[in-house]
Amino acid sequence: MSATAAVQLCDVDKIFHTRHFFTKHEETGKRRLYYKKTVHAVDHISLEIKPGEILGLLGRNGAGKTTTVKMISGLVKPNSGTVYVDGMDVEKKRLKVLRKIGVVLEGTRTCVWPLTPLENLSYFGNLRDVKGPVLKERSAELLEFIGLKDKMNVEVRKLSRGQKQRLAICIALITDPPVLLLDEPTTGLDVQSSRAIKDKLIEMTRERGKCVLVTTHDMNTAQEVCDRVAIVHDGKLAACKPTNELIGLFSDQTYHLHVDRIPDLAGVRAVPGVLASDALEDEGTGPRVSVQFCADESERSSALYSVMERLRGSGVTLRSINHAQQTLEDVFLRITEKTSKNGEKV
Amino acid sequence: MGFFLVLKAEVVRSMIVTRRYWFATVTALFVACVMFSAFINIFLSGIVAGADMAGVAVDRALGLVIGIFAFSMVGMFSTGLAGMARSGELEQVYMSPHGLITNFMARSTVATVLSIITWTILLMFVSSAFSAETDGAKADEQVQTAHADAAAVAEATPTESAPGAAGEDSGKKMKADGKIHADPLPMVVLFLLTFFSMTGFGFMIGGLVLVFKQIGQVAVILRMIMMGVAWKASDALYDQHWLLQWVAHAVPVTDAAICLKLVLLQNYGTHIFTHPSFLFLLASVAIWTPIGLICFKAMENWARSKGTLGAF
Repeated sequence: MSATAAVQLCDVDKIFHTRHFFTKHEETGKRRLYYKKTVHAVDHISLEIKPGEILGLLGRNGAGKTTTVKMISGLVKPNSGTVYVDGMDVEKKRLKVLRKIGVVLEGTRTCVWPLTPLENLSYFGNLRDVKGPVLKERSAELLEFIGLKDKMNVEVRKLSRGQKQRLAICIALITDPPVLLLDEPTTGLDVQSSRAIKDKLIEMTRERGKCVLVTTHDMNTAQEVCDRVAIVHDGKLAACKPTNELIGLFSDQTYHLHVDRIPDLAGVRAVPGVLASDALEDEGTGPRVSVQFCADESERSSALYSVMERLRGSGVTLRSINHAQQTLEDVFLRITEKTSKNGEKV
Repeated sequence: MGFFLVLKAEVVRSMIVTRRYWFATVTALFVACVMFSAFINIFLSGIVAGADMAGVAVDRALGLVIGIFAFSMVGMFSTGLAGMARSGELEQVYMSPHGLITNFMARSTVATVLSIITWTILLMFVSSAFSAETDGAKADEQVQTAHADAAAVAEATPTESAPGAAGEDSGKKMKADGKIHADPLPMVVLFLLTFFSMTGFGFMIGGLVLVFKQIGQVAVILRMIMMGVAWKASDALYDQHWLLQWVAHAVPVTDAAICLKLVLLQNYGTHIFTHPSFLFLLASVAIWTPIGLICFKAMENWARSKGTLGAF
């Protein structure tokens, strides 16, 4: 077990078995009297999150993100492996661990709708052993921090989805836990609410030293907010690296040259330092030549000049040049595709 | 300590919700009042003049109150728990560091106290309605008996619900009219035993619901049976076939209802402690409470393995 990790998963594995009676088999489509289905939700995952760090857990639907969060919060028991929170084994000291974590689960009713935000914080504070002046002070501070102070006496059922989600984060923070687990916190929210939650996440880790695990489908959120990103595919950990490193992983020095007409690509390909080239007639931006250069910077520079010279020589007008930027979405798609084909970890 | 914190949280929540939705609360109380008055009237008018038809009416009314209590208590652990799993509330409660058992114990205590308060208010209304009827019209003997019974039921319930508080005065008054006899000590003991017996049974059902969510629907039938048993329970049970007797004793509400009826209606007082039904009630508590808690704990672990805490 790592001494510096706030959360650590050591070779954690989870298999779910479901039994079906008198239902159609999903694969064969035939009605069966009984069949048992096995899903390997989490396949021997090991990762850790350090204090003051935001780790993004990305994956398709059913990849095992929520199961991972639930295993950390003690809601699901792993088949094998150990989960540590603040150095404590979740299975052995579950009730103590619960004092160290705040959890916001996706799509569930995390607050009591007939109560106001202030009453909700009071209710959940009492349930979680926070009481008296500490509870009052913390409730006021959290509502102020999350931007719900003016709504503190409005019934939750009258709040918008974004406000409810922000309240759910407040409830998770009422015990002032060092670890915060957020399962798809921005799903279904408008841009403003999503932005507000992202800002608060960054503020919590940078200013309050919280360790945050956030699962999301929103690649922009992950790219903007997360220090590190872990990609889960079919229950397996496909990649886990710092966000910038992960984005740079598939960076292939490709340049897009926007021109007035498609040139002869054989001439471009003949330039030393050019690895590949492709042409595309884009409806919006017009004709475009994509050229992939070698990694070496000086060779790449001279190759780029040579390509431009060739284009000028053949009477093609060069309108603009862009360095093709990889996004987390591109990386995510490539990693999941690669893992599907070869089963290899990046 | 954890129990009292959770209890406080639940009490505050219930009070806020009751106050905030006061119209719904009052409406529900009014509907229950009307239904209960109608029930007593129909029951009394439906019986051909017998030796103790008012006694039977009170017996049935009391049985109904106990039955409804059992119905709602088991309901909280069956359909209530399944509903909590569906909405995600169960996972939230599970993440409380006091544990699910402490949370549900506090919830059932609050639900019981609220149900007692509701029934007390309701029976007071019914009682005063019958009083007005009797005083105004100088009603015949049957109506007077009904008044006495309704009043007796109304007086009995506070003693049943808060035996220490209602205590002596109501006991004397009931003894004076010769119908209801509410001795504080047996009432306190019986009430606590009934509560623990029902809670233990509820925990067992709740444990099963944690893993097998559809049991919540099946439990509705069980709840109806319990209500029926409480309604009809009497010491005539001991004249039945031995198999039926044992099946009836296995239902946790049977002996509780028999004992409460014997103390309230037949002035058993502290003699109830030597009655076989009291011993069966003790056995019921001794069996159902550990079985319920062990089953709930085991099922809770199984539910974590199956991942069904937040699934329906």
